[in-house]
Amino acid sequence: MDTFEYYRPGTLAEALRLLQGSGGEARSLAGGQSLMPLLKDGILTPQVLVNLAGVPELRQIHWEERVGLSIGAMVTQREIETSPLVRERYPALAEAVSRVASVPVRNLGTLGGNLCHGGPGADPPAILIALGATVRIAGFSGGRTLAVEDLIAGPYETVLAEGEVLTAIQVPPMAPGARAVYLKHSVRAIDPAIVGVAALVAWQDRLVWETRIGIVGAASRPMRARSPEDELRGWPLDDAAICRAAEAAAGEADPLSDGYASAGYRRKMVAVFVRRALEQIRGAK
Amino acid sequence: MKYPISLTVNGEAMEFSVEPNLALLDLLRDHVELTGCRRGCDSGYCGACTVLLDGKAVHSCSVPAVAAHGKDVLTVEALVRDSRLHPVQEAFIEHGAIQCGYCTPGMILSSVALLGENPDPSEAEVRSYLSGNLCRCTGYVRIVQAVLAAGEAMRGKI
Repeated sequence: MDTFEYYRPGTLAEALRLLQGSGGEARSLAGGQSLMPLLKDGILTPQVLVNLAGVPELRQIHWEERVGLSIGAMVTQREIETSPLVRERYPALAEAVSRVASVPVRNLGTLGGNLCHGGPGADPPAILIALGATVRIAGFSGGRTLAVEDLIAGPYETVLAEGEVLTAIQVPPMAPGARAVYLKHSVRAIDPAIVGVAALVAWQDRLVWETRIGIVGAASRPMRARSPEDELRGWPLDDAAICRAAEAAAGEADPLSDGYASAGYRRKMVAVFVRRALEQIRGAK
Repeated sequence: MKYPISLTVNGEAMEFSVEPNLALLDLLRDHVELTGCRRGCDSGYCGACTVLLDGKAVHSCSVPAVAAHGKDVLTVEALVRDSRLHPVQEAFIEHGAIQCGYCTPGMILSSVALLGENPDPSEAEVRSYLSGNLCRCTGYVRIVQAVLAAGEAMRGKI
């Protein structure tokens, strides 16, 4: 591994200045759990590493009744899964985050780092898509907000421009009576998901009113599966609707093959896990 | 370029000057000669390199030493006090939870962290918590038994 310059700025403004000023040769360091192996293997060879651990505003997590939950990009995954606030308000988010790799990885690995790494089969994007979450991005010359499904462009790729930093993840409040679940399909607990399905359903009377389905492993990037949502909206969540949604999700899927599973197997598992997720939501109602 | 860092290692304040690409694992093994943390996969999966950083189990192969500046590191070497093994170490021996021993320091430190957070874990909680520590010999049954027994011992039930 080549060596590089190292900085640990104390403010976001300073971090942005350092990242901007190094001509595309800078990387930000979050928890290091994905970055360190890539540096060691020489896959990434930055000239400058900017550790964001010293920026206090990136480490905060807070809830406001009308706005929802805001999670600073540098909050660790372990902090999220053990947060009483998250467990009470968004149990499916706590569950999904608790399925990332292992405790030692989650003790240092951050939610922002997980999203910006863009690893295929990472669990958090699926549930964040289902919850309708957005990410706040800061740049040297201004900020922007993106839906989580628009952040990751492909395996290990995001739409972040040079010098931009993901600062926070915003999760809107769930509608009254809404339910969300995350189901992960993997061989070993510490593996990335072969397929990970998150679903959210809210009802108006007995009919599905609002629904979002986020899937990882169904395409080259985390996917918001809109065709199963269309199958469900306005219908009761009965066996027929669930079956249509599961088939629609498999039809919309365009999975990759890798060492964990073939594309064909993934497509079948998309249908199975969308069905199970919706059945679990129905059962919990 | 080297950067000055200070660490507390097993209770002792230490100063180092490190290249920013040096992993905490390499610092501990090559510069402090604490070889209880093992190099396994070297990529954050196997847990052989587990140490406690500010009391939390981490994979030291995936921590830049420079980012550990100001923190407190505990390795397996520090668990022994007055020539007495830690209850988790005793339980591993008693239950035959060790075969080749390569994963054992990491396994023990993760177990110590678990029992610190949750003094009375269920078997499922033990298995889940230790999923970041791979053992290629034992099949985990005796390891899980040892951790549950250590929990009992530490709660003063034995």
